Formats: sequence, C-alpha cells, structure tokens
Amino acid sequence: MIRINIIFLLFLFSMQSYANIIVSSNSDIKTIKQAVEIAKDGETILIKEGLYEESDIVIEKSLKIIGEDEAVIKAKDGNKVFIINSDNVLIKNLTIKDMKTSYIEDISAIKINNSNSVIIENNTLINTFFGIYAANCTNLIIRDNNIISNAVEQSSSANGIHLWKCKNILVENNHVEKHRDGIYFEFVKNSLIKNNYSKLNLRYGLHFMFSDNNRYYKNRFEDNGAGVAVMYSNNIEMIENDFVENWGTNAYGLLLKEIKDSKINNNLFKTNTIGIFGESVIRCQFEHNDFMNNGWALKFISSSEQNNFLYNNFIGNTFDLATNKNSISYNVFKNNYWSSYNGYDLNKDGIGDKPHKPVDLFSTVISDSPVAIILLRSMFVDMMNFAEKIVPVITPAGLEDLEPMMKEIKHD
Amino acid sequence: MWKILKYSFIDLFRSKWILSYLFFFFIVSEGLIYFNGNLSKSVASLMNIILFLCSLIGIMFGTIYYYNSKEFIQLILAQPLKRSSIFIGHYLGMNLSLVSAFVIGTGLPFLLNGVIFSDFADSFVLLLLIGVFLTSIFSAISYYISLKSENRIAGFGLSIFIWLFFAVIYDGLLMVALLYFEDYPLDKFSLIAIMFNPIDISRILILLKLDISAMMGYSGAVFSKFFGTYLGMSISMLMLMLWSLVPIIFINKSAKSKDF
Amino acid sequence: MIKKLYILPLLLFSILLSCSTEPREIDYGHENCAFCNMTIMDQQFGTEMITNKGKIFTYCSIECMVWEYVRETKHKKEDVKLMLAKDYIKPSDLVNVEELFFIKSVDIPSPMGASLSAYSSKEKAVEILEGKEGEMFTWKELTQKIK
Repeated sequence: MIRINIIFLLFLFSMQSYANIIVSSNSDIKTIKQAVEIAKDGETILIKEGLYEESDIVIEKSLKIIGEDEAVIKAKDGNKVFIINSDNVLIKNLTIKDMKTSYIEDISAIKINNSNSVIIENNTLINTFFGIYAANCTNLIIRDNNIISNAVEQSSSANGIHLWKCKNILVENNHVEKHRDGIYFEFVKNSLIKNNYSKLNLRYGLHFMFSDNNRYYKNRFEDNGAGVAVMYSNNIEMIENDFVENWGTNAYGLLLKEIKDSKINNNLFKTNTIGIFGESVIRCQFEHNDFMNNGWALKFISSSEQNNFLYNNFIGNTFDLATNKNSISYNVFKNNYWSSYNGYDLNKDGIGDKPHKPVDLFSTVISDSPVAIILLRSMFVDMMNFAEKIVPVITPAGLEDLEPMMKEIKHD
Repeated sequence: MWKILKYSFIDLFRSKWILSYLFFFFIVSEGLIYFNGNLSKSVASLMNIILFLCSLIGIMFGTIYYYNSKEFIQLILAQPLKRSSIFIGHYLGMNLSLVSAFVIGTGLPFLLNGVIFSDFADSFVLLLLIGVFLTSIFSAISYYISLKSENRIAGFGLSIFIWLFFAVIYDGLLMVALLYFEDYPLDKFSLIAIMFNPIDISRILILLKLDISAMMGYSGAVFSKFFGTYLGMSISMLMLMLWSLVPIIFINKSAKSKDF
Repeated sequence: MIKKLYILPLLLFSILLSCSTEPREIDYGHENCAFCNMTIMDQQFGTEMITNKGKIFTYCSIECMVWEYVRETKHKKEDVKLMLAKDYIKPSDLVNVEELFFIKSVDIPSPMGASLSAYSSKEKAVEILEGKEGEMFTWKELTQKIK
C-alpha cells in the first residue's frame, strides 16, 4: 500500500513538474481561460486548488488540463464551461458546478465537438445541466467521473453523459445521478459502456437510440423514473448488468423497441414494474438472466419473433410473461426455472415432466385493453385465470416451456 | 330502538357464531402477519379475504338472523313500539355485533404486532373501514330481502345471488364491456362503473394504497389522481355511505307496511 | 331489485359523459408515447391524436405521430379526428397540425431522431431556418414525405 502511495506521489510530482502553465489565484495567470489562450499545442495546464468563476473556455488546440484536488470551477452566470473543438485533449481532476437550465440551448459542463481522442477523467460535475455532451466525436474516453445533478422536473433537466453521432467510445466507472437520462446515446457505434452506476434519474438510467454494435457490461441501473430504454438498434450486447428498483407507473427494468440480433445475458432484473418490455424484438438471445420480484418479468408485444429464452430464473414475479393475442410467435422458451411451476419430476432428471405455461389470461387481456387492469385482484379475474389454466382457450398455445427446470439455475 | 339494538347485540355477541367469526379473523390476520413478514403483502392478502368474506358473511347472516328471530319480532310487534324502530334497531344490533367481531378479530393482531406505528397504518385503517362498510352494506341488503320475502329459500337464494352479482358477475360484465368498447375512451366510464359496486370501490381504494398500484399503468395513474384528491376520496366514501344507508331506508319503508 | 333499475340509466349516462373529445394537456414525465413507448418529456415536442370515437393518444414527438398516422399501425386515417402539436418557440397550448409549419433540420434535434419541430407562424419558422440547413413543410407535405 505504502509503495503504491509513494509511486502515486512521485507520479503527482512528476505531473506537476511537467506542467507548462500553472493557474492559481496567487500566480500571474489567474484564470483558466487566460491559460488556454497562451498555451501552445500539446502543453499541460495545472490548476491549483481554489474556486474559479469562469465560463465559455474554448479549446482549439491539443491540451492537457489537470486540476489539483479542490480545484473548483463555478460556471459564471451559469453558462457552459469547456467547449472542446480539437483533438487530443485531456480534462482531469476538476470539479465543475452550478449551471443554469435552458429550453433552447444545450448548456453543458464539457461540450466536445468534432474531436478525436479526447479523455475526460476523474472529474466531478455538480448541478450541471448537461454534464458531458459530445457530438460527432471518435475515440473518446469518459472515465471515473461523478456526475450529480438535482433535477426535479422534466422541463428543467438534461442528460448526464450525452453522446450524438459518435464512434469508438469508452464510458467506464462513471456515477451519474439525478439527471433526465443518466447516459444518453443517439447514433453511437462500436462503443463499450462498462461498470457505470446510474441512479435516481428522472427518466432513464441509460437511453440509446439508433446505436448499433455496442456492448454494455456490468453496469447498474437503479431507481430511475422509467428504467433503461434501448430503441432502434442492432447487435447490442448487454451482459451482467443490474436493473433494480425501477418501480413506477410507466417504469421498466429494460425497454426494448425494434431491437434485432442482440444478446441480453446474465443480467439481474429485480423489483421493476416490468422487467423487460419488448416491442418488435427480433432474433435476440436472453440467457442466464434472473428475474426477481417484478410486477411483470417479461412483457412482449407487436411481432416479437425468433427470440430464445434459455436458462433464466423467474422468481416471485406477479406475472412471469404477458403478451397480447396474435402478436408473438416463433419464440423458444426452454430450460428456464419458474417459481410458479407446479409440475413434477418423476424420472428425477431435474427437468419438469409437464410443460409450464407462463402466460395467464388476465395479463393477455390487459395487454390488449390496458384499462381492464382496474379488475386486478378481483374475484372474477382469479376465477377466470383458474378456468383458463385448466382449459386453455385464449392464451397462445406455443408459449410454453417444454422443459422447465425443477431447481433454481446457478449461473457461472 | 336503542333497547332492541342493545338486546339483539348482546344476544348475538354471546352466540358461538359471532365468537367463531371473531376468532377466525383473528387467526387469519395473525397468520398473515406471522408468515408473510412483509406488511404490504399481508395487507394485500387480507384485502382479498375481507372483500370476499365480509360481504358473504354479511349477506348470509342478515337472512339467517332475520328468519331465526321472526317469532321474537312478532312478539315485540305486540308491544307499543314504533314499527320502524323495531326493525332498524334489530338490524343495527345484528350489524353492530358482526362489525365489532370483525374489527376486534382483525384489529387485535395488527395492534399487537405494532402496525399502527408503521407506514401501513393508514392502509390498515382503510382496510378496517372497508370491512365495516362491506359488512353493513351486505347485511342490510339481505335483511331487506328477507323482510320482503316470506319464503326462506327464495329469500336466501336471492341474497346469495345478489352477493354473487356484486362479487363476480358485475366484474365479468364490466370486463366484457371494456373489451367490447376498446376503441372508446374508457377511463372515466370505468371509474364511474366502479362506483356502482361497493366491492369494487373497496378493492380499488386499497389497491391504490399499495405499491402494486404502479402496475396499473396510465389508467392506474388516472385513478390514483382521482382517489388521491380530497374530492375523489370523499366521493368514494360518500358512495359507500350511500350504499349502506339506502337499504336501511328501504327496510324502514317496508317495515311500516309489512303484514304478519 | 328496484335499485338496479336506477343504475342502468346512470350507467348509460356515464358512458355518454365519458365520450367527450376535448384535447387534454399531456402529463409530461408520466405518460408514455403511444408509438415508441418512451416517457414523454419534452414540452416542445409532445403531440396528441384524437380519434372519431374520442380516444386520445399522446406521442413524444412529431415524428412518432406522423409514423403512426402514415403507417396506419393502430387505426385507419379516416378514423382520426384531430391531431395536435406544439409550437417550438411557445409550447403552451396544443395547436391543430393543419395550422402549423414544420421544419426538418439537423440543427434542431427532436426526441426520436427525425429532427422535426413545429411553428405556428410562417415568418418565425423562416427566421429560425435562416443559417441552418433544412426544409419547411406544411402538415400535408410532411405526411407525404415521411413514410
């Protein structure tokens, strides 16, 4: 431990000595803006501890801007702070805070336009409107940032990390809290989103549209207004993420709309109103997920086809699966564990001897006519479901797990 | 009236039927708390039991008690007492004993387990209130039916049918209507339709208090906005009161003109 | 038994009552878009469709409503009575789409990626469009252009 600390200290010293320009209240250069103006291409600016009240710092050259601990930038008049228009820029160890909100302008703490190889690392952004906003960028690294706002109503909120038309991005180890959407992607390709923690956002913890070939790994999305939304994208991998406590009128653990050829494996869906809501989901794989204590574990509507659901655990959900009539077909449910399964295993091979039908009649009815939900928990509904279980008439015949597991599946 | 009320109350409260009713609710609610651990879920399960049992026991007890004490009523009628006060006193005495058996039976375990100090205190109080309303409403309806019908079997049958209608058939018809008129805006309609069934009012009132209400989607949000307001709450309470008062008015009317 | 006879006319009355077709304000942050299921958030982009039978559908953006209308996914074109959208500059009231002018410009991003916004005055729309790449449409042109 001590050795690591020494190395870290040495590193700090070396960093300091390499700084070409030092900004501090008691040096000649008192503002970051001034430092950026005089700096030459490729130089490093070190910001000493202190409170700087600045805005509209436009970076048009390759620079490293590094803050000492307690280097805090308060947005002057609440305006945007950094605008990066060039390649190879590093922004590190800074605290940026207190920005105003706007309906028309995209005010952001760090805005990156048309740049390549920019690193935003270890910053703390407090009460910013947009936190980090990148447009038309490639090879960005957004790492170890704390992005915390205090959005209370939708009209005065914006996204924590907002990427638009970007490629090859790494978003790692960030903590995003109380924004509109925690992490927002539109037209972002070939990117990796890893180990982030997004919670208490007004709308979605993670929201992306038209963003193909991305990988989401080990993120945690907790208590967001409406969970996570994934729309109009192909070739997505979502692996080992946690979707928990997204509970509310229109909340989902994960909303999938028009998604093709994707993998959703080894995730945890716990205490969400709807675990996964799928609309037009085609050729996707759902394996080794845990669905626990959700209102609905799965709700799939509108021509969702050729999906495979294998080795998932469905435990203690109010409804395991809902669909509307005539809509989902050619999906395979096999070898899942259903806590509501009431069959038996005479040959002791661990697989239930009779198929499990996870769809009940009432959930089919409310998918078609949502207002009928007012009959929830009425005696009529209980009787109807019971009758349908014994003599199925309406529930889709193909929707059954022919080989349900008898015991909860342990994922490796 | 008060004398008759007091008499029938004491008479009933000593009977083993009422005591076993009390004891049953005690066991059920104690068991639900003990085995569930989760208070929200206990309240939800208890809700289903209360909706089912309070209305059913109310309906059955009303008829049975009336027919069983017919001779007593005829005896009292010979006394210089107002007719309406005899019947209403008699009904109220019976209802009061049912209600107190329910309140004590359900309430005691919740009190003993300290629910009153938890976040569920208000949904628990609502639960009790609704049980009281349902018992009163359905026992009054059945009392009125037996008053009108001399034939025991017919009276009993009609009472059971009325219960079945409100507990099951009404919701079935409502669901058919909702599916049939799917293309029309039905939020307001279903809200109004619910007001005409005391069991449905009770069910929705409690559901909206529980976190299960998030599953009710946009319609649920519309409802919870309605019931969450002072106006909505007062309207639904008013409806429940109306439901308990109207049968009494009918009892009063037919008591005046009934021949023996 | 007599009571039930009172109920019937009341029920019929309530059905009539609930068929009013007045536009209503969108419940931002709580309602979902009827087309894409996203929670409706942006005041400037929320739109609303009312059918002949009086059912109201709300959308997160102009494009979602146009898509649904043009593709006839939920109902036929002739079943639609009225469509409403909001003025981008003054998003207070819902306005009939026939009276609005629409701009499609990448410089004004909209919730579902089609970059559509609406304006109640033609002059304002022209002013906004100045210096930006993009085109202006009427509602009719828009429904023909977007598939």
